[in-house]
Amino acid sequence: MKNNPKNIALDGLLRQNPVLRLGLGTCPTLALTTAAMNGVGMGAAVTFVLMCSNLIISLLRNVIPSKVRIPAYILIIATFVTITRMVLYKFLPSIASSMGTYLPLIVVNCIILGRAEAFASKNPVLDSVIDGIFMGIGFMLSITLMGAFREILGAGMIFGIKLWDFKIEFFTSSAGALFTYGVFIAVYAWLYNIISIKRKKKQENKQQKVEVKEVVA
Amino acid sequence: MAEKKKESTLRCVLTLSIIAVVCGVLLAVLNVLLYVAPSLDDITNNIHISDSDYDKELWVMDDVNADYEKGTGATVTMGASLDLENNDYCAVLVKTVAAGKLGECIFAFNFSKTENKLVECVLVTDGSTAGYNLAYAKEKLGDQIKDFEDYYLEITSATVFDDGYSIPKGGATLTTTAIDNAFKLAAKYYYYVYGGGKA
Repeated sequence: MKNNPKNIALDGLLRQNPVLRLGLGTCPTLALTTAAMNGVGMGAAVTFVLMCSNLIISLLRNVIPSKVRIPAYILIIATFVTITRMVLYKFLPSIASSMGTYLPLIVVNCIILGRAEAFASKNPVLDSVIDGIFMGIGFMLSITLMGAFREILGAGMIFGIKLWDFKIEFFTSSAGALFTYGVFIAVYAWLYNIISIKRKKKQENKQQKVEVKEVVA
Repeated sequence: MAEKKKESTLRCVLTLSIIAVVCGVLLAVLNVLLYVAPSLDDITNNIHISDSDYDKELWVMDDVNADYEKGTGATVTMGASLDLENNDYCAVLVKTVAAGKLGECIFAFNFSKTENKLVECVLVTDGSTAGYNLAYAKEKLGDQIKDFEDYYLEITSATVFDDGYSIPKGGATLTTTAIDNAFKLAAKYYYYVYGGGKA
């Protein structure tokens, strides 16, 4: 498929969604989805790091020798994670505290290293930046939705606002996180298959019409 | 062939070194611009984060508590070492055993391990079933802090917060004993674990 901005954006958001399709970044996904706000904070931090690291790695793709590419990527990613951490502690200390140890652990997040290796190191700068932004947004949307789902059912709240007294505490536990993750992946795969089948049928119908036209002609 | 390999190795080392130096310089500059100094609130918040750990005896020093008889003494319910930026703190939570109107209260003490000083004392929660007067308790705590100066540690300043808890009003007959025991135990704990001070 051609690498145009629309395709790259759709890949990041839906077709190759890092959490629901590629199964990357599972650790923060399970640990931080107790509240929707955590998802927004973590997603924004990951988006910033992905965008910046993709930019620099793509710029240096012809300079970094392939033998030392992984340590070089880690150095670049760690720098941006440290900057993110400093900025968050300076301006948004409560969000930084809520993310706890998962904030510095973005360095070893598979999504970032995965995109650096699979995309940024092989593609031009603009495409890499777009890929970073939309992969990050895809990650943020997934974990925010999961966080909202768990917060509503587990605490009867959404973004810290109380909705009702009814709560199922299972959803705030680790087992609840795994269950929610499984449900989201299943629903996503089901919807993805339905859309794929519909699209395939549409293409087949189109092709049949073209063939009929050719025969008539 | 060997020459080519050497050149390739040199290129790898050089590339990594340049990236490391550039990143290091960038972070050093940003560290100066975005540095956040630790505040007393940070230390207190760190203790409050551990609210659920109050009952866990993570670091109980039986020897320290040996001098105090049950009923008039106090116990260290938690001792935690905090490393905030370049300052090393020791947070000690002391629960006074039922004695007077401040019985079963939790005090938090923050000692600066770097400077060997008591930085802050906080009345975290009231546990007494009987009522007591907070203003009187604060006054007594202030007196104890002054007296405490000659005990083990040098004290520069100390504050007491009621922390928004609902405090019943009433008499305060044995307040002094409870606060005194809490201070002595925190100091003993600190001295026992870290040494220093004016023993």
